[in-house]
Amino acid sequence: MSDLVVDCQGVTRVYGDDVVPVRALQGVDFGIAAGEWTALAGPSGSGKSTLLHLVGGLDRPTDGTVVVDGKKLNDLSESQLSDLRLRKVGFVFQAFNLIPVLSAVENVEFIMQLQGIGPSERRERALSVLDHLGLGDIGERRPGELSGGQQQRVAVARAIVTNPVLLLADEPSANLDSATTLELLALLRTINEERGVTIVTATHDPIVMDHASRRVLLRDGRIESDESVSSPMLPV
Amino acid sequence: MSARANASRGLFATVAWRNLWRNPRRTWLTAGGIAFATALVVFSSSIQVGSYDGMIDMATRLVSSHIQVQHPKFHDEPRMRYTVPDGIELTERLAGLPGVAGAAPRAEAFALLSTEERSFGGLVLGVDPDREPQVSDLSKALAQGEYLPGPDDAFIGAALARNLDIAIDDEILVLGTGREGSVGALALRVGGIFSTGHEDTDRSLILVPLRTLQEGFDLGDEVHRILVAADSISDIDDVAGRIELALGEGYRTLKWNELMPEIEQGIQIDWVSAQLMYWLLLILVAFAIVNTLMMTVFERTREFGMLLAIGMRPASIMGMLQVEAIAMWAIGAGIGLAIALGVIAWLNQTGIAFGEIAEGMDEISAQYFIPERMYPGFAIGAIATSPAVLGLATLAAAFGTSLRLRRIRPVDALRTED
Ligand SMILES: Nc1ncnc2c1ncn2[C@@H]1O[C@H](COP(=O)(O)OP(=O)(O)O)[C@@H](O)[C@H]1O
Ligand SMILES: [Mg+2]
Repeated sequence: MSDLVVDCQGVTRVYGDDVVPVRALQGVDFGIAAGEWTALAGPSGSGKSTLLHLVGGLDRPTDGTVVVDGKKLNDLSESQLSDLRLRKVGFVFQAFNLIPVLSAVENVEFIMQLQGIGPSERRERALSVLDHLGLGDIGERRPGELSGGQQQRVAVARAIVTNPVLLLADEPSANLDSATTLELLALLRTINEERGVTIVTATHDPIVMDHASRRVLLRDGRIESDESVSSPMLPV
Repeated sequence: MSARANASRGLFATVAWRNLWRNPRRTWLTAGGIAFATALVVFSSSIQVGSYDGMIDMATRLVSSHIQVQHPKFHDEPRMRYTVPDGIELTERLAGLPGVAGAAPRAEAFALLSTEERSFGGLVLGVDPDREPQVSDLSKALAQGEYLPGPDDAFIGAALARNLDIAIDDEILVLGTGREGSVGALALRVGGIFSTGHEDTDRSLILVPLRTLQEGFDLGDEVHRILVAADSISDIDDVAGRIELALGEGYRTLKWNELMPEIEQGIQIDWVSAQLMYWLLLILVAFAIVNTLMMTVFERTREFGMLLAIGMRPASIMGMLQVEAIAMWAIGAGIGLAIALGVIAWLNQTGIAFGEIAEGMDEISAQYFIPERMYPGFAIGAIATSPAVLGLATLAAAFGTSLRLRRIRPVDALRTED
């Protein structure tokens, strides 16, 4: 049981106040094993982002427990949560992932600086991860000089360079066309298979769902279905 | 925590610095505001400081000089018999003290000045004709005739001469009370007329040779004041201290600000009212800084939300904002100081000619002791204070603004409206 990277029990998240409560999640039991690529699917408003935020230590449940990498997040202070996000979780958001005034390689370095890694090591690691992900030639460009797909791929590089136990991506392809989406998915596939990074993507994009090894369908804050895909679609 | 913060400083500074130039217009506007306020406050303060020295110089050179030695009671109760013991001999001694440019004795008497037709009250100063020019500029204010050519010649203020309707060579009778209550009387000839431009002085003073006054008013060889001019205004306190030390009991040493308290009060009022303006200006600029930083934080809410989400601490983000704000301040304050100090250093050599600035400035300047050519001094206080005040305001503004960070919830900042 303990090789679960994420273990949610009876997770409930209610937004708003007592007068107009919004029940975004209503008692979700949910675990993720190491090395899995889970797609959180479901219509808009079904609670995908909320669940992702709880798992990533960005938010706290109203009820229930969230355990990540053996740590019960309910018990952590704000700064402990901040540390958990820095060291254990990699994030890729729909947009605004990068610091605009830093180049791609500096953006990747930045998170290692936050971790206290020295200048030469972090530059080396940043260059190597960009190279590995086929982004070596855009390292000196700033986000404004990159396409949406390139920005998302740099964000993935930033998210995995610290070797997190978990990579969380919330609608990572929402702003991308389908060709670029496929490139991004190929990248995620590579890091999932070659590096064994556990991935959770929240998406309502069928192409993304098709690449995951597991599909969890949310509806009205509850898990409606949870299926493993034996042979996820291979990248074109 | 601190090890982590230390290691992170490098790229923080990069982010802060580059962010300054993300919106160069705004940065330059704000830094320009800081530069302008710094330069203005430093420059005006320096002009003020310079003009005060000029004012003191002019006012003291007019009649009173820098320092006076008197009988202990004379200043509060100017009676004929409160004379300075051994005045003449003492004058010699004081003139020899270090830092003393010159010393001169004076006796004085209030008297009625009469011609055949008119009479006016006036103050008769008995001066040593040779020494007097060392302590006052009355002799230089000569308008007609000559400055005390002979023992029975009077040197009289222009307005007083006009009031008495007399000219050079006319007779004038001086009547007053002598030292022991006897009648003091002098029959004089108008030898010269002076015009200082200072109304009170020109309307009330008449100078006669010291010996003449002493003889006519029963003073023997006694005097009421010994005037001492210091080498420079900044020496006055030292010289006064030295004099006090040299004299001991039985004398009173007064400095210009005790002799002419209205001058010092005027300076203080001018200084305080200017300070109010300066502070107002600095506060305005501080608000501009707050405004700029508020806009910065507001515009970058998503960026900060992302940084919080990936595990950057709010305190670190604040630190980054502080670096950014301080860099902006340093640019502004540096430029402002450089400009102000440069201009002051230049004017400090060449001086500013007030007389050339406006018509009629001469008369005004004589009345209020504004020197015609003024040399700004370095207002050390303002040079240190105004950049410091703006620096503190910048830090406070950056801190206050960054408190907004506490209200940024990464989840909300990153939520895209679609
Ligand atoms: N901060 C919030 N305040 C109030 N309601 C919220 C907030 N965040 C999300 N919700 C609501 O919770 C529900 C689930 O939202 P979300 O998790 O974003 O769904 P999804 O990501 O699947 O679109 C929605 O009804 C949404 O309006
Ligand atoms: Mg969502």
